[in-house]
Formats: sequence, C-alpha cells, structure tokens
Amino acid sequence: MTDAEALLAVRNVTKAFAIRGGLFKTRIGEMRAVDDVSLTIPAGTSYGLVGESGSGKTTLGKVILRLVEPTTGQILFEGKDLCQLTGDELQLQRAGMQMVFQNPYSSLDPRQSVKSTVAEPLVIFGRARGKELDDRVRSLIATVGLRDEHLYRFPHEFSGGQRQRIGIARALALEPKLLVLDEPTSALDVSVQSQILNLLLDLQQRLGLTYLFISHDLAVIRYVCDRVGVMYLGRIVEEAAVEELFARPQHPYTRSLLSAIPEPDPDHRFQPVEVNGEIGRLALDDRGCRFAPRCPFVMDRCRQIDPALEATGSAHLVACHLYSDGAVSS
Amino acid sequence: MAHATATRSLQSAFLGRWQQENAASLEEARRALYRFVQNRLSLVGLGLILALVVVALTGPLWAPYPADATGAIHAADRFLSPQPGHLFGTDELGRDVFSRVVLATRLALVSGLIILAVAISIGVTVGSIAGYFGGWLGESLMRVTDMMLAIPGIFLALAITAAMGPGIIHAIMALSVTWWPGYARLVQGQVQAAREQDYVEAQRSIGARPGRIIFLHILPNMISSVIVKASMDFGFAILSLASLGFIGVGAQPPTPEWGEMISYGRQFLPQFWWYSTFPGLAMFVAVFGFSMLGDGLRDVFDPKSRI
Amino acid sequence: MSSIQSRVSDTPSGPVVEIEDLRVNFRTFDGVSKVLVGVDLRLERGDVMGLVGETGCGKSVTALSIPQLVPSPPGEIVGGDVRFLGQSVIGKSPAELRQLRARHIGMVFQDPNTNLNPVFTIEQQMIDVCLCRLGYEGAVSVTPFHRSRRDLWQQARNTAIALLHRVGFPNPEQRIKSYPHELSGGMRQRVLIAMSLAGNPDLLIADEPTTALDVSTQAQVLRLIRDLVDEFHLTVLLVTHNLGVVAQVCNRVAVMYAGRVVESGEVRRIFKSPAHPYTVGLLRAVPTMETRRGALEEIPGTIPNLLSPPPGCRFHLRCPHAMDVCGVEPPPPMRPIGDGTTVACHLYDGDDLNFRPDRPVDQVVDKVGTAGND
Repeated sequence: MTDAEALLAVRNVTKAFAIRGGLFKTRIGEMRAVDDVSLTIPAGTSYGLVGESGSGKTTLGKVILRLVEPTTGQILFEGKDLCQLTGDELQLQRAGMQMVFQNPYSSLDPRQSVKSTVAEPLVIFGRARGKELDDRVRSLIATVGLRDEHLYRFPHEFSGGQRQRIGIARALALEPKLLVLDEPTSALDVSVQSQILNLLLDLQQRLGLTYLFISHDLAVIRYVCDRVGVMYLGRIVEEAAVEELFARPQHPYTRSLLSAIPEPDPDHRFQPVEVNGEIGRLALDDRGCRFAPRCPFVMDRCRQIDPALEATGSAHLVACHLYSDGAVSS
Repeated sequence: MAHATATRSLQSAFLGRWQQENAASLEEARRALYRFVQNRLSLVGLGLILALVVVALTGPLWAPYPADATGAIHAADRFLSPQPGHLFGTDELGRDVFSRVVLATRLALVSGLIILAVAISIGVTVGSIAGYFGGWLGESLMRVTDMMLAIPGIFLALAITAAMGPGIIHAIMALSVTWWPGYARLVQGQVQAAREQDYVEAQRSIGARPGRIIFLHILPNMISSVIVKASMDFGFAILSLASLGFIGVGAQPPTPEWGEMISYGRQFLPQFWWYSTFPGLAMFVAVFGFSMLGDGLRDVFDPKSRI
Repeated sequence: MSSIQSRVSDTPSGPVVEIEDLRVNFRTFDGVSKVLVGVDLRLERGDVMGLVGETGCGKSVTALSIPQLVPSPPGEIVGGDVRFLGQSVIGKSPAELRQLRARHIGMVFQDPNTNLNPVFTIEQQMIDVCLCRLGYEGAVSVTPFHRSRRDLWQQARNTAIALLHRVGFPNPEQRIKSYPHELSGGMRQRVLIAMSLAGNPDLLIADEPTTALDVSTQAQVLRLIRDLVDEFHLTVLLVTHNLGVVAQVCNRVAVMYAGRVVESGEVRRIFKSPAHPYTVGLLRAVPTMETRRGALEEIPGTIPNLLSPPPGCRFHLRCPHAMDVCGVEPPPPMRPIGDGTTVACHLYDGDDLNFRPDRPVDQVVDKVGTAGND
C-alpha cells in the first residue's frame, strides 16, 4: 500500500510548541507534542491511536484535520497535501474529514437545538436548504438512532450517549470519508459505551467510512480497530495489526501498558510490569529514546540515540534498540 | 365566516408548530422566570424600573405644570414648600419641582439607554475580536482598552465636554466613549475562554469561519453576562450623567435634569430642602431599581443553577 | 511504625458498616429526585467491597452517607438506617460526626487535583491531618514555634513521613516540602491515600480513586491499595464504575442501579455467574481482551429519570427477562440465593434459586412463564 493509494497518509508530521522563558519571554526551546510521526490508513479501515496523557495522540488527531497547524510535515488526504492548501480549497477538503469529540457535554453548543446543530454543516457548505435540508437532517438523526421528536430539543435534555449520537450525526452530515474519533466513548457509562461502539462499527460497514480512533483504552481499540499505533511522548513507538500487537507486543512500553489494564476477570489478577516512575515530561534537549528513563531493559545506547521505527515482522513496526539491526533480544 | 375560521385554523396551526419548535426555549424561559420571581428584591427592582418607564413615557401627559420644564417662570410662587398642588414644592423660579422631576425621568432613561447601547456595541466588538484572534491584534486592542480604563470615566467625560462644549448631547457622547472599555474587558476574557471550548473546535471542524463562530455561537452564550452588567450599569450611567449635570456640563437650563437640580439646590439647603431632595430620591430609585434588577438577572442566568 | 500498625486485635466484632433500607431524596428545581430507594449494604471487617454502578445509580451518595457527608440541602435522608460499628450515624451530633470522620473513617476522593489545597505544602497538609487524627482539632494553629507544641508537631511529622514511605512516595524527607502542583497525579493520589490512612481508620472509603489517572498510574495505585489492604487488614469501600478495577482489587462487590443495590456477593461468584439481569448485561457490555468484533452486547435504553422513574422495578424497561409483575411491584428486598450472593429481583422471588439469566432464552421462558418485554 503506497501513500498514494491510502486514504490518509501522514508523513513526518511534527507539532512543536515554543517554550518561552526569561524576562522578555524569548523562545528558549520547544516542546514537541507530536514528533516526526508517519502513518497510513487505507480506505475503509480503522486505525487506532493509543497512548496515555502527554502522548500527543489528541494533538495528532487535530493536526490531521488542521484544527491545529503542524509545524512541519505533510498530510496527504486522497493524495492531496492538506498543508499546501488554503482558503476555499482547504474548506472543500475539510468536508471529507470530520471529527467526533470526546466530551459529549461540551462539544455541542448548549444554545443550539439538535436540528440546528446537525444542519449547520450543510448550511455552512450550502449543500441543502428548506425542505431538502429538513429531510437530510431527519435521515441523519435516524441513522444514529434518534427520533424526530428529538429534533427541537436542546443538548442539556439528553444523556451523554444521546449527545454523542448527535455529535456523530453532525460529523456525518457532509458525508465525509474519514472520521477522526477522539476518545468518543471515554466519558460515557459502560452500558452506553457498548451501544456507541456497535453503532460506530455498523456505520463504518454501511457507509464505508474510514476511522482514526484515538483512545487510551486498549480493549476498546481492540474491539473497533484493524491496526494500532502506540504513542509515547509524541512518537509512535510501535505499530502493528490489532491481533498481532496484542499477541506479540514488542516495545517495553506497549508491554507495560498491556499488563496494566485491569481486566474484569477476578481469576487473573494483573501483575503490572514494573516500570520506573510515571509518564515523563519532555525536557528541552532530550537525546536518546524518550522511554529510556523508565525502561526496565534500558541500555547505554538507548540514552544516546533515539531509535527509529523499523519493521520487525510482517507489517509490525517497533522503535526500540532491542530490535534494531535485526537483533531480536528479550 | 368560513374565511374567518380558515384564518384562525391557519394561525393556530402556525402557532402550534412554532410552539413545538420552540418548546424547549419556552420551557427555559419559564424556568428563568420562576427563578427570577423567587428573588424578592429583584422583583422590587423590576417594579421600580417599570414604574419609572411608565413615568417617562406618560409623564408629559399628566405632569401638572409641563411648561415649567420648557422655560415658564412663576416668580410669585417661589420656594413654596411641598403642598397639594405642588407635591415637591417649587424652586427659585417658581417652577414646580414635581413636574420637573417627572419630565427629567424621560431624559435620564433615554440617555442611559443610548450610552449603554453605544458602549455595548463598541465594547463587545472590540472584546470579541481581541479575545478570538489574540496575538498582537488582541494585545494591542486590550492595551488601548486598559489605557481607557485607567482614566477615571468622569474626568474623561469632563475633558470631552470641555472640548466640545456643554450640553446633554455632548455629555451622552462623552459617557458612551468612556463606558465601552468595561464591556470589552468582560467580553474578551469570556471569548478567549469560549474559544477553547470543544463546541467551538467542532464548529471549526465543520468549516465555520470566525465571524460565524463569534456571532452565532460564542456571543449568544455570553449575552447573559452582558445583560447583567448592562442592567447594573444603567443606574450608574444615569448617575454619571447626573454627575456631569452636577458640575454643570450636562443638561443646560431650562431642561430639567436630576443631577443639575441636585447641584443647584445645594445652595438652598437646609431651608428649602425639597429642591435637592426629591431629584435625589428619584436618582436613588433609579439606581437602586436597576441594581436589584441586575442582581436578579444574574441569579437567573447563573449557569450553576442550570441542570 | 507503631502509629500505623493495624488495630485488628482490639477491634470489636460485628459488621463495620450496615446500611438498611436507606432512602435519600434530593430536592431539585424540577421536583423531588428519589436518588436512593432502599439500599441494603453490609461490610464485614476485612472486606474490600466494590460499589459498582453507572451514572445516577447513587453509589457516591451511598458512600457519603456513612460519614454523613451528603450535602443536606438539597439531599435528605427520608428512611432507613446507616450504622457504623454498630451505632447509627443518623442521629449523631456534629461533634460526634467530626470525631468519626477524624478517627474512624478515611476518605480518598476522585480528583487529586482539587482535593489538595494548592497553597499549602504537602508537609503542612499531612501534619494537619495527622494532628487531627491524634485528636488535636484546630491543628493548623499548632505551629512548631511554640516550645510545648514542638514535640507534638514532630511526632505528627514522623507519622506523616512514615505514611508517605508506605505509600511509595519517593524520598519523603525531602519531597514533603513540595507543593501539590509540583507533583504528578499519581503522586498526589498517593498523598491522599497516606492522609486517609493516618490514625488507622476502621474504614477506608475510596470514591473513584483512579478514574482521573492514566492507565499505568492507575495500575500502580491499585497495586498499592491491594498491598495496603493485605498488610493492614483494612476494610475498604471502593466506589467505581470500572468493573476491571473491582475484579482486580475487591473481594466483594455490590452492584447498584438507579438507587438500589441489585446484587451483592463475592467477586468471583458474581463475575462468573451473575444473578441479576443488569449485572449480566453490564458484564457483557464491557470490552475485554477476548471480546470478538461485533459481539459486545448492549443494554437497550437509558438510565431512568429519577424524577419520574418507571413504576415497579426501575430496570424493567431494559430487562430482557421482565415479567408482568416487574412493571407493577418494586423488586423485593435482597434475598440470599446461595454462595453468599444476595439479589433484589422478581426472578428470585420463587423457589428456584439456581436460576441464572445467562442460560439460553428458551429455557428462561420455560422457567418464568410469559416474559413480557417493554
């Protein structure tokens, strides 16, 4: 699968935030929330982006939509580099990729009725008006499992799950090809989460959507996605097909993450892999692997050179010195 | 007959649909009203303001001596104490104080309205641009705002009227110009916070441009704080106008104006106390009423009391 | 570390907490919300009980009712009893309640960012708590400057450092002088846990202690809680919505739905063969490492509006096994059905206590007759 064939190809994208200090707030360094990340997503598949706080996964999602401007890199959507587009051209491409937000309580304008919220993308792009607009909105509402009588109500009258459905309906209004879902079920109750996850699977099949699914919950990612990328402090440290990653995790961080998941099975009390300290913060001039301070397998080399993402198996990529140069140790 | 029923049924059908579409807003309005009514003081405030509005609108129709506001002089009736026929007494030119106070009400309310309307228009625009776009544009706008806030409003107004000459119109213009920074400050902070909200980001992701986002989404959500500030400011705007009148650069004789009357009446205290007292009371009623109203509105709009 | 040695030897026997038919209402703008409608809960000494449920089930209100911390308008207890160490807490005076909260109950709340005072150092806050636990109220006024108080202050400080050591806070001697914002989320939560353990409380109530933490930090904190429980024979009430957390840390679990405990018992039994249809649905709705694509089950519908809940059982509109009686009569009080499990459900009103809802549907229909849905 070349970049040209994939629906979305992210190439060497970096997003750096300036760190200012001193009397005049001069720029004394930068903090890379997303550091030289590349990935490809074929049409019709789901790519899961997993990581904890500070991993940069949410920032990457927003950069892809150009809600946040990347510092460097290319974002190829259907072959066109979004970073080169401006104004109306960008607007057109925007219609092809939409976002579903994490917090159903703050991602809807509390003063807008459901009908107005869902119709708005169509209004902005001038895609429909009058009766046609009405019909389109009704059918979108029905697609996500809501009813006509909900149209004139306001967000605060709905539960979290229902609000999330409204958000999904809004995201589908422009018939996008790519949906970026930023922790869409993290703020929902368990029983509702399964409803939304099944809805998302169903929609993907019916409408032929492609998903970039961002989450910290590995079990959810496993349920929805075909391919997974594990992020730590701005880098993708491991990437593989879902089953492969869970069966044969290679990067020490991935392993510790998997071992830390509390499974709802009292017979398998977890033994989290001992990892030093907590998630690090990026210092200004870091060299070497960013996981080195915490890694139980750290070597001298790890502190000097930042490992690159390399293939270690069929479509399985790891950024770790334990596996580089073909040396498969541990 | 058939025509009439057809029209009525059409109307009720239309009304029915409108009611259905806006059911949620009507429900919200009902709740807001309920909350408002629970605060006794704000009801008092509302009552006082409504009374003032009525007086302002209808005053000229029933004030006993309307000519006294436009230059009539009755030398024989100077300094009559409050009595039937002259409820608030008369001033040094024999003019009926009651009539003058009543007729000054209209001036006070209208000028307050104008001052605030201009101030809000300028202030909200400046504040939203500064808050939404930030950067050097936002910074410079806010520094200008800060500069204006640093100068006491009265002095600025005084300077402007001194430059332009006395008169009620100039006073109103001067006050409008000094009042907008407060609104700019209020709005800028809120717009900046709202900009980070998820729903604003969602708007950007569906392609909305900044103008649309600001006017259709951000501002309606903060209209309540502007309304609260405006209702509280109303009283103080009138007070400021009166202060200018007190100094002598506001309304010019013979136009009655509360501040000017209070000021001029000082020299006759304490013997002819009614001259300053009754305009002062009117002033008090207006400022108190608006403050209580503002308080009540703030409780109504407080998002924490929303479910 | 005598100050934090367990007090197992000199403790009275009997359940630590007994909640009987607790009913709590909340007055809201739209009316009276019946938040708890008859909660039954019992914690024996040494139990680590998970109180599980979703939004609106009333688990936090239940937990807060033990130290009587339910905000009193708008909430009010309208029935039932809450007994701590055998004595009812409902009638107690504010002074007695303060004693209770200081000496006998430790609490850890959800968000470590807002539960520590940002303008005081950890040292000041920990010592404040330790002094309270030692019995000195108004402890903040005990500064180290007054000679006679210095010993007391030092004693409290030593206790604080020992506690911080025990919860895995790195380098307590030096880092105790940090401010909360200088610490990470996991560190702050450890501090809160240390505070709650000061004075060997009889009961530790943890309300969603790891929800605000990252997965890896959560694992560390859960390990810590498990170790502390083992070492000090703590009795813990862990309120959470995360079934995984319950499975990893607790030995007993109580499942709540819309104001009532619907099932309670040993963790292994309930996870392996849940009795109440809601518990079944909940367990099947959680994606695990084994869930096949598309096999995640849903519980149809949404949580009822507590202002106008459905008649009869509050779950019946979503229950695949609902019978006619479920829409009319509220569920019976909790009944034991063997292996230490108690359930509040019409399905167990009769004599068949071996019934479990995960049997195939046709068997279910045979057993319970007409299963009327919605």
